Amino acid sequence: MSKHRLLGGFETLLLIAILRLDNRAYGVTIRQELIDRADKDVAVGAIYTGLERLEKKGFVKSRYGEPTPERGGRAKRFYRVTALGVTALQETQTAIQNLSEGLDLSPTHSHA
Amino acid sequence: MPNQPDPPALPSVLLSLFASDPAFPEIAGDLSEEFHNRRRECGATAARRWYLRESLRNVWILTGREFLRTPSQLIAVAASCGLTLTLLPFLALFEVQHPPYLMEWRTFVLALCAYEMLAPVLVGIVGSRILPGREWALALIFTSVHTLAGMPRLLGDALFDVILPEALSWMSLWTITTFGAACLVMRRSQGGSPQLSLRRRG
Repeated sequence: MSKHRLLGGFETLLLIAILRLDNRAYGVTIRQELIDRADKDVAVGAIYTGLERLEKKGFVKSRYGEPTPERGGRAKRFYRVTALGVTALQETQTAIQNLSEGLDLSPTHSHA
Repeated sequence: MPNQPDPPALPSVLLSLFASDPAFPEIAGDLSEEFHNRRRECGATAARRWYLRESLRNVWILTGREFLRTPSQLIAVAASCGLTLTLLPFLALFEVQHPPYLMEWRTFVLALCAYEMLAPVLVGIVGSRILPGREWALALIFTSVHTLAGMPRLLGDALFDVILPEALSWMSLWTITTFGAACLVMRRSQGGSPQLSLRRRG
């Protein structure tokens, strides 16, 4: 039985995107990664709502970069996944794999 | 970057009103950065159109987030504000019509006018202090509750008199507008504005 609560779908996508981006993960790059790889066009406000939730749970940590003129003098907020976040992601993936084991999820197989 | 135009002003102002701390500086910064990227890649018109669409989309999402943060507390505060603004005049009216007549009719009318003018602002300020960061949601809920609660009264009176409902509807409009304005002013003064947020972070 898992000690942590399993991650939601959007939380999982956010954590994977941050891991993929390594130390370049901030609002714009996370949004672009979600569009490019998950075909999910999410508003940046929704991304920060999810990140705020993940930060409260201790799954991500953030730090501020330097302000740039292109951003109207506002600083980038970079995110990184914590060890707790990686564990939560692993547990979620294991749960999904265990649950879907033996199921035929191909598009041709109908469950209706 | 002196030769680079800023993102359109109106969506930026809208966003600064609706998006509250702590997320506002990041969201505004990301949108501004992406606006400049798109301007270089797709041209100024397409970038402006994208910026407007994304700003409105974020306003919608952030308003929803304000509602969902603590909905029961939000509804309780909005209902208390509504009750304060409607119940006290009714109690005073009851006192004027029944013994021991602590107040004369003329004094009551003057006090009522002063109350209707000032109370929405004061109640709006108190409500915003109770719910920092959710002032916009409070104003929206209050407007909905006030409009819905006033509707049967207006429809009922309309059968007998036209002047009274008109006066009541103007009073309601004043209450809703001043309450909302007080909430938005409090939002900016409590950290909703980008300038304040940046200053605080140093």
